[in-house]
Amino acid sequence: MQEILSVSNLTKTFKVSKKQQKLRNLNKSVITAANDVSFTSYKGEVFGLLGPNGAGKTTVMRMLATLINPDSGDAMVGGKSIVQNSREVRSSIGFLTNELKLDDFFTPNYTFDFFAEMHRIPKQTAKQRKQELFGKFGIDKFAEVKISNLSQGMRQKFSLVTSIVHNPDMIIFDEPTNGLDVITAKVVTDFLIELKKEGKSIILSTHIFELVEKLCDRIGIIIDGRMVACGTVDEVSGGRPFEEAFFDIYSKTTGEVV
Amino acid sequence: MNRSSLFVLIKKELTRLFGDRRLVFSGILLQGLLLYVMYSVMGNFMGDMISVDEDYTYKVYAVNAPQSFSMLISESGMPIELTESDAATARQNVADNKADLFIMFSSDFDSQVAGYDIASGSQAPQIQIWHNASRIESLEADSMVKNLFREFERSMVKKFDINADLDPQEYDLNTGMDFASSFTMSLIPMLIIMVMYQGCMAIAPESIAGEKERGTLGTILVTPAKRSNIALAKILSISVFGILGAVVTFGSMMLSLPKMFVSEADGFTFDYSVSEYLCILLLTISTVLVFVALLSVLSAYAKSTKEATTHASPLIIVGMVCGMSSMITGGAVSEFYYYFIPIFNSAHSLTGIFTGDASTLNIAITALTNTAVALIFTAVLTKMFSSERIVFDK
Repeated sequence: MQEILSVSNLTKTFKVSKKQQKLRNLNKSVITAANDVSFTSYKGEVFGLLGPNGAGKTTVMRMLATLINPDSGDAMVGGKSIVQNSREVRSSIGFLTNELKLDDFFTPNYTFDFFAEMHRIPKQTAKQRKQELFGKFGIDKFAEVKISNLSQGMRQKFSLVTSIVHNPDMIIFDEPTNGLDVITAKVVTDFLIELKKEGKSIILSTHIFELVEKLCDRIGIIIDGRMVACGTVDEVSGGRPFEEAFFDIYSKTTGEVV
Repeated sequence: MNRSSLFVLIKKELTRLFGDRRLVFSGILLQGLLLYVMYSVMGNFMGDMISVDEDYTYKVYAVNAPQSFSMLISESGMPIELTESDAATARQNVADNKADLFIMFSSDFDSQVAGYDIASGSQAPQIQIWHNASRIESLEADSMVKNLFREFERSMVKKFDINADLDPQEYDLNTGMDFASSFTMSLIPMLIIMVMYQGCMAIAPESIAGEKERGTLGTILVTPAKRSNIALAKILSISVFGILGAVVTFGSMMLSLPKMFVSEADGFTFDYSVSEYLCILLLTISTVLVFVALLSVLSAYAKSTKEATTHASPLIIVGMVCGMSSMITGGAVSEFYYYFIPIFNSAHSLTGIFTGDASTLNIAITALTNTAVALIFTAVLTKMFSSERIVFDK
């Protein structure tokens, strides 16, 4: 199998303000969001990142998307370092997260063209890709409608489209079906399956166990910034139902009974 | 051909700014409109201030007033109440605004004029007239009486001089600035600076802090664009918008400044050269660049548009103080080193142009200093965009 992502000992800490310390009942001024995280993902596979809220999944994904720099460690995306070659890495990945929003002021048409130009896609290629993606997600009917006037589902579909304007080899999805109605969630899930079939590599963060079992080839469980389990779904669950295995791992790691 | 990301980003920023009608109105048109309305209103206000009531009687004190002068006044039909007085009392009354004019004739003026031989080369009989430029009534009386004397002198084939021995300003007993200058110096530079600040304020927080707040900045950060290009595109497009606002402000000044100076009376004329107008334009643009750069840095530091507005509030006080400083200093400061202080230099350079005391060196220092300051803050902004805390702090 061809290795597309190799994460080595990624560590990231954040300073916590006194106000945040009080709010979150913390007695330290620095928190370690990602602690020595390592894993590998292969071409054409879906790698699931799981963990409770605040475990460090988003921090790891942000580092992989080169939005933030690790304090130590590195990751190679298609042979390029996220620290040394961040711009090249950004050219070869797609990143979709609820935190990043599209400008409500523009139309899908304008926004698509903007991102295509940012990724330096030739005009003709961009035009064909726009037709293909807009048609697939039913955006073509709303191409000239301002994003502010699109429904939540249509916005999420369009966000998905903008993350893959440049047809990246690896796509990072941070909870892509979060807050979507069942129909839109199915459209997104089906598209992830389609991308997998096309041989794209996907890093997927989700809380939905069903989606993990349906899509993921391998998974990693992050708790308190540490990768506590990593392998195929069967390897991690040990033959038990995945949900039961996850809570067991969580309880053993944190000492909390769920 | 693929365009550079900087060009694509600038195009997007400009589309965003100019596509928003409300922003175009508040950021560009409103400031010009405000300035035009303010100056027109002030012009009317000043017009009221500098026009004398129709039934006003001018109080003129005279020393050694000859018979011919009393006759001249009565024949002219001018509403003048003539009072014979000693020089000290007359002078004090004009200075204290109790009288409008003080005229001192040579003793035995009429016979001196009659006996004066122009060909002799000796000093002609003298008339000295003092006024107080802080009062329009005094200025009007001065103008009226001088015209009367000129006519009288012409009829006598020039046998006497008026205020011939001293600089005309020596005859102004007003101890402060003259009326037009003090008004111009105190208000106009401040108004211009405030209007420019307002224009920049309408866009910078929205464009930078607003994008952070809405999460749309992060979406651009995921593209292969350099962060420095993202920052540059922001500041350049805001500058284009701001400069356009400044040009509108300048155009509005050209249209409305003459309205400020509605009287032909001394000190109230409005007559600036093309080069002075170009200097005003240069100063306006360089000041806008300083505001754009400063507000962009403050907006990048803020977590939200609201916070950016709060951070920027001390800047408006600085602008106001600088704008009004020429009133405290009694006009534009002359020492060149003061012109290295941004905003303050703009206020004083503008004051200098309006009062006719402008120095080319000081204007050049102002424009260069402001541009340099804008470039420094642009560099700071590009550095800030590389900071995780700045771009992701929400």
